[in-house]
Parts: sequence; structure tokens; C-alpha cells
Amino acid sequence: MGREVNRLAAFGYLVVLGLFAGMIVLCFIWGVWEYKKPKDPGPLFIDLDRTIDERSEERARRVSKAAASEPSAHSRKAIKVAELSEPIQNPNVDETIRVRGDVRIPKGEVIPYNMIVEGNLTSQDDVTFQGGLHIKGRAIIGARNRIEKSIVCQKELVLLEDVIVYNCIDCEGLVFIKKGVRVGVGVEGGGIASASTICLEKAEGPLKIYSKEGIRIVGSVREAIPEDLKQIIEVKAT
Amino acid sequence: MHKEERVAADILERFVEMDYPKDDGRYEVIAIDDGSTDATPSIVDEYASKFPFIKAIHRAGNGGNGKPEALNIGLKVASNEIVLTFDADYLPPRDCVKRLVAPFADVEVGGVMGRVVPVNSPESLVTRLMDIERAGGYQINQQARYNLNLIPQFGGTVGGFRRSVLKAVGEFDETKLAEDTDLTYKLYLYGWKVAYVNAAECYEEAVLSWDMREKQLTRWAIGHDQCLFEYFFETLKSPVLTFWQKVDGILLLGVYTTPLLILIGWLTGIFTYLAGAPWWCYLFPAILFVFAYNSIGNFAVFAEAGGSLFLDQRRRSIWLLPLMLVDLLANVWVCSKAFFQAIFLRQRRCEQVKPPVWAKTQKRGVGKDNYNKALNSFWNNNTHRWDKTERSGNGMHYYNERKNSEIKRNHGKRG
Repeated sequence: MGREVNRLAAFGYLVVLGLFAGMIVLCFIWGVWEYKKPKDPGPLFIDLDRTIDERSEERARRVSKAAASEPSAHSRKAIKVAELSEPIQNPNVDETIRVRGDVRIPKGEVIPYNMIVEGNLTSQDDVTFQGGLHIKGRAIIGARNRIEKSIVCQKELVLLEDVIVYNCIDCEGLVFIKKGVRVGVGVEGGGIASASTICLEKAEGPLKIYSKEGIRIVGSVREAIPEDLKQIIEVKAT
Repeated sequence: MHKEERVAADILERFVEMDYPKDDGRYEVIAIDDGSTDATPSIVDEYASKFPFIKAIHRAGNGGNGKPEALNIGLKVASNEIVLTFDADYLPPRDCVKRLVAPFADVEVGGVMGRVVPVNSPESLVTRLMDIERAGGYQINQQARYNLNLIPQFGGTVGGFRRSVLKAVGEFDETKLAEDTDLTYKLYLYGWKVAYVNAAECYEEAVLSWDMREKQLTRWAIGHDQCLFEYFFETLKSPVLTFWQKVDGILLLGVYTTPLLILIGWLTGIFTYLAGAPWWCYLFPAILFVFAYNSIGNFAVFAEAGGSLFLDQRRRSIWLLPLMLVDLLANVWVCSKAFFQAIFLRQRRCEQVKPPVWAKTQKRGVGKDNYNKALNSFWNNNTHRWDKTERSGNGMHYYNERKNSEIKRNHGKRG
């Protein structure tokens, strides 16, 4: 009798164990099934060609540009604090980046690299280039820019007011220099060499200049600048 | 892009086709070739010479040190206020840019994040599980955080930020392995918000194998834990965040420590089962919380993924949910390891910035030397590197297959 009870208990124990194991297997069996014979292997379909219709686009355009660019009061405070404490000097420039295409450097930016631009370069005001510049197209250097090494430019070069170039400038095209520009202020000195003509707005300051086709002193550089370059400068100013 | 020749052309093609005005200078694509030695430079140059709005930046020699460094270089030549970032293996739809820039109309929004969808999900078990995990992580997790005005995360890709704000909060931190989490917390602590746009979906190539997954997860976990150490107290003390944002912020910072807590819970469970509950258990009711966390926390991600698949009308994929246990086990191992790696990294960094102390009488100090050697080798060889995620470059193949099946299905419905 006792043995029979023991057998029954053992059988019951095995059944419970089997049920438990079965339920665990049951959990995974569906997953394995779907993995082996997938009915929904994905991916979730996204139409890569979809666009937003005109109506909603127009609505988005109505948003005031001023409101979109205005930071919140709290953030303005944060920006102020961060700007005041921002370090900008990097005397050991050892990296060069090469950019294919036209480049516009925004106002106040600090570029801690040497740059090779395979296109045109336009920099807005107060930009600091801590390395040198090699521009294969045209270059318009904005007012109060600082170039801590040299500029090599293969087409026209425009230096706007109060630009400082520490070393030298070598340009294959026309060079237009506005008032207050200083070149060669670094310990290595240097001057401006052009394979074409150099137009100076005012011959002030110790500029060392060599030009293959002559130097013109003009009342305003704007008069001498070709029309298409003028347009670029005007766009930059806005 | 660091050695991305398999995918570089695909993503640049997507940006060429992007439905966004391209002739007024507001749209510019900056492709950063981060010192690649394969065909990536020539691919990006080819696109830059064909399309005036694409610029190619090449780093010679110093590349491959990670995304934050490359992003900081790209930002130097980005001339517009709103900057969006995409990884090289991403395939954005034509409306993606419009959808991502729209939230910036709100003056409080400093960052935006879209939804990431793996395109190669049929490729392996890992990709299928990643597909499920991504679905839950974005459609439920991020969306809920955004709706509840908590802390949705900027994920570093299919997302963007205001350039001026990034400059103000200090650019991308190149010492962090999760520059995206770092930026999220910087934004919130400075009073900005991050908007989540579920409709700005974008395909990515998910990792294919477990070892690639381990590398990726290790990088994320260490980076996230670095942020935990840095921002834990700042988040608690912040005068800008609301109470619930602080709670969510702390939980989000600790998200990669969850697997470690789970491991502790399992070990405690085994210990108490084998040894019986020791007397001090009664003195530490906190242990109950570990058990509770272990029981509930484990299943949160399953519920999240299931809910998301339901919303995506991919109910058959819900069958795969139990197999996510495999992913959970992997997470427990990798994230627990990463937590200690992050502690070592932090200690190493602290030691580096300590000023030299006086020259005390020299001891032999073998123990400390050996410890430092081990730390140095750990620092140099193991952790502080940006493990490259390999791409199969099959994204467009899977997309085209899926598109064809969708066309067939719709055709059948009409018939």
C-alpha cells in the first residue's frame, strides 16, 4: 500500500515537473516557429519616397523665423555664461581638413585646423582660423577675421575690414584689400604676393606687397570688385 | 564616415533626393570622411563635385577616433542654425528633414529625435531582436517620455539640435562614448527640451551578430554610465527640471545599470534559496526592492516591445518576444561588465587630472604599480576606443524586397 502511494506521488511529481517544463517550452516554441518560418520578418515598411503635402508645408512656413531662432530667457542666460567662459586659443594646430565644395563659415566661429578648400570660401565676421588656408576657388574673408598662419588662394581673394593675417598671402588671382587689413604681424613676418593685380582701399599700415601685374590704390574696393563677387559679399553681409 | 564604402553612396543618394529646398543655402549636407582608407573619400568627393549643397570633409591621418570628434569638425563648417546628424548606414525617407526641423518652431526645443527602424531585420536572429527592441524603445518609450513632458533622449542620429545652443553648452564631449546622452542632459540642465517625432522614421542597418552587438552595447553602456556619474547629482539639484523630470532623468541615467541590478537580484535569489534567508535580510527591507525590481523590471521591456509591435500592426512578430530573453541574458552580462569598466575609466580620468603631490620617500609600491599597469592596459587596449560597427551594406536590398512585397499586397487588395 505504502509503495503504491509512493509510486503515485512520484508519478504526480513527474507530471507537475513535465507540465512545468512543457509550459516553459511552450513559451519559446512560438518564437522559434516564427524565427524559423517567418510570417513577419520585417522590416516595418517606410516609404522612402514619401513627401509632406503642400498644405502642411505651407503651414510650417508660416511660423515666424524670429520666434524660431529666439532662445528662451533661461537659455539666453545659459548661453551668456557659456560664451564668457569659452576658451578659443589652440596654438598647436597639427590637423588638416580638406573640404570638397563651397564653404561658408558662420560668424564668430573658431577653426582649430588647417583647411584646404576645394571650392570657394566665404567667412562671416569675427572668424578665427587657427591654422592656414589653402583655397582652390575664390575667397572672401570677412571683417575682423584672424588667420594665424598663411593664406594661399588660387583665384580672387577679398580681405574685408580689419582682417589680420599672421604670416603671408600668396594669391594667383586678383587681391582686394579693404582698410585696416594687417598682414605679417606674426614673428615670422611676411607679405602679400599676387600673380595678378592687388587693389588696396587705403595704403595704410606696413604692408609688404609684391604684384606681378601692378598695385592699384582705389577710393573704395567696391568699385574695383567684379559684379559677381560683389553679390557674394552682399549675401554674406545679410 | 569611417570606412563606410558599402553604405556611403546610399545615404548620400537619399540626401540628394530629400524633399527640402536646396537652392537657397538653407540645406547643406556635410559628409565627414573620418580618415577612411577605403573608397569612402572618393565616393563623398564624387557627390560633392556633382551637387553644390554637398560638402565633403576629409580628415587625414587623425580620423577614426569616434563620432564626437568628427561631429565637432563638421560643426565648424556648418553654416545654418539647425543641424541634423545621421550615421552612415541610415536611409532617411524624403520627408525626414522637414519632419525633424519642424519642432524647432517651438522656442524651447533645443534638440529633436526621430524614430530608428532596422531595415535588415530578416538577416539574423540578432537583427530580428534588435528590430523588436528598437520598436519598443522608440514608439513606446521615447513617445511616452515626450508626451508626459519627461526626458526623451537625443539619440545622436536621426536627430538634431540648434547649433548656437550646442556651442553654448560646450560642443560634443570627445571623452564620452555616448555623446548623445551627454548632450541630452546638457540641453535639459540648461533649460532646453528635446522633441521626439515618431513620424520622422529612418531605416538603419542593425548589427548582425552577437559579438558586434556586444561591442555596440558595451560602448553605449559605458558611455551612459559615464553620464550617470557626471549628471546624477546635477540632475537631482537642477533648478530647471520638474520633479517628475528629475525622477525620469535619474531612471534614464541608470538604464544601463538595470541589468546589473537584475544580476544582483538573481544572485541574491540563488543565495537565499541555497542558504536560507540570513538574519540581516530582515534588517534591510531594501532587498525587497531588489526582488521587486527584478520581477517587474525584467518584463518592462517585453511589455514595451509587445505594445509597439501591436501599434505597428506586426502582431505575428509578438511571437518572438520570449526569445528576447536571450537578449536580456546578453544585456545582463555586457552591461554589468560595462558598469565596472566605466568606473575604471572614471578613476583613470580622475587620476590624470590630479595635480602632482609632493615627492614622498619612495616605497617599492609594487601593488600600486601593478594596479596602475592593469588600469593603463585596460585604458589603452580595451575600453576607450570607438569600436567600429561593421555594415553589411544590404540595407537597400532589404528595403527593395519589402517595397515590392508592399506593392504586391496593395495590388492584390485593389484587385
